[in-house]
Amino acid sequence: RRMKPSRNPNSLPPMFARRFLKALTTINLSRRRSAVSARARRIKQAADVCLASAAAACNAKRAWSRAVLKRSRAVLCRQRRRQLRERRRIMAVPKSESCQQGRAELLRQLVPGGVGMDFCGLLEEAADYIKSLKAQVQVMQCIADSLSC
Amino acid sequence: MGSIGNVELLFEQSNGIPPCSPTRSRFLGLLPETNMEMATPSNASVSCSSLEMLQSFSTWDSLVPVDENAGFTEKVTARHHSTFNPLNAVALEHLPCVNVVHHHPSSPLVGRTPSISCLLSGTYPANINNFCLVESSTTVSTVPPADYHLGTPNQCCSVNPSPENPRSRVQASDGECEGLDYDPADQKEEQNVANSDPKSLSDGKKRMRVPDCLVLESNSNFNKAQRIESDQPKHGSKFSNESMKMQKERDIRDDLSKSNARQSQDQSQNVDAPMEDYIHIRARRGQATNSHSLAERVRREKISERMRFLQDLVPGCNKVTGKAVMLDEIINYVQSLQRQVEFLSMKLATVIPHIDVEGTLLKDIFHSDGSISDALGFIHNINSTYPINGYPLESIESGTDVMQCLKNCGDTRKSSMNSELFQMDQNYDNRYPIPAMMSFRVYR
Repeated sequence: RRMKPSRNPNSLPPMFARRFLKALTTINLSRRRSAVSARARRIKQAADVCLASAAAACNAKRAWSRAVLKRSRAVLCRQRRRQLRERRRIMAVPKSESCQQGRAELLRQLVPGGVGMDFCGLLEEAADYIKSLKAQVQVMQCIADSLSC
Repeated sequence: MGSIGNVELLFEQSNGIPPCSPTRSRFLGLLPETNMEMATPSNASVSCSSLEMLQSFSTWDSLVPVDENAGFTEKVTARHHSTFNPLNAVALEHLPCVNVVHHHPSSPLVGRTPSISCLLSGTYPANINNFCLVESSTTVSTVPPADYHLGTPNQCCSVNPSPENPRSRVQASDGECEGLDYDPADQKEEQNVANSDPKSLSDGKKRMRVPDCLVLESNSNFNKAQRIESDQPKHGSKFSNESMKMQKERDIRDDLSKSNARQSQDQSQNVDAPMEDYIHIRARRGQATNSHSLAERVRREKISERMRFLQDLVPGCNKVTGKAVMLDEIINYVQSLQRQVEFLSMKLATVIPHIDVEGTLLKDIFHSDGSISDALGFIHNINSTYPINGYPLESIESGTDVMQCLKNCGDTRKSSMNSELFQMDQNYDNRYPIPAMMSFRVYR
């Protein structure tokens, strides 16, 4: 399902909201007996994918959105899923290093697709990623509040 | 300053000038500012003569004698109908620091200054940037005149006081002033020109600064406040075009607004390709001029610019100085946002099984075209300013806010759930969750 591409930076929250609601309806219509945690994980993944696709539609040159979409497509394959689980465990690095290199590494791990980037591009991607995360949180908060009425 | 007083008088006089072009009087309004920098007592005479000159010219192509040199007037009056190349030869050895153009960018003179800058480029090196930089600072920031003593009267645009299209004249010069596309005779373009001229001026400036045959000479004792030039002749052409572009980008950014810099950067990249003989990099005063350090400096500036942008995004970073602490804050913020997403998804997962009764709500929200904002907008825009300290108190207050906004739903169960949520929030990062959650925005 392709949304009409609108390269407007202000339209990221509505675009994300629309896609996310669609995804929610899909999840809602699926079997309901799964545990809350599994459903939560699926919702979170749907949210990330929707955010990445909305961001890619808004501003196509962002690397983090491409990385997220690539990662999500790889998850469909079970083998990659196992690899990703292992990688997630390894990457839970405590923030103990105080030197700037350690911080840059941490930021690289946090921002999707930031592993192979120079510091300058990493900062730029981080800024865009933060903006999109903010929009995501706001939309999800609004949806959660409206649904909890 | 007495000179200013004189100029004001002259300006009043100029009002009586028959406006062959109304811009003339407006241009004369520039004179006071130019004269502000003039220190010689010959200001009055020069200005008088300049006004006379202006009166004698029918079009705007006449050179405006900004020079305060006393001898200048004679030469000007003698040759005001010939080409102004001799003016270039009238060496600006005398030329003081003249800040012509650092005021109203909307002045129609802006349209005129490119010609002047072009004209003067040969021998008015200090003026070039002044003319070219409509919004520049008051310091004369560049190029000693020695640079442009290249036998360059031919290089600068010769502005003849003819009513012809100046564009042809401009292009007659060694392609230096190509960017100047204006017609002094056309006053309609003044507005556009005023806007676009900073860019064209910057182009002109850049092009003037990077002709092939330009050789930086260090024998300039003109305007000590200028930038230190890199020892280009020594390093020859070893500097990369890229560093030159970066340097120009930085230089221009120092002087012009950012939009101008971007356009000029693009232009410079087009211009730089063929020019490879001498690549000039203007170093700022007191800074190293090594090629590596220049590239490093550009990179550092890029990084600091992005850090500033991030500082605006991340709340509570205004007081933080230093990259390390900023990075810590950024990392914290990203982690907290991701945790918030997880939490919200869990909340949605708990809520969703309950909505089959209210499943229509989702469909309503979804199907309403473009009115997602309306559907979600019943949660009012809550801008709660919260202190980072005193977190538990904030939660209560923000809880009441949420409860107020959810009055529309009118369900006490929701309010209790919200208070539970706030307590759950406390387990998360104490700084960020509440404000991010509380500051709803009505989407459009």
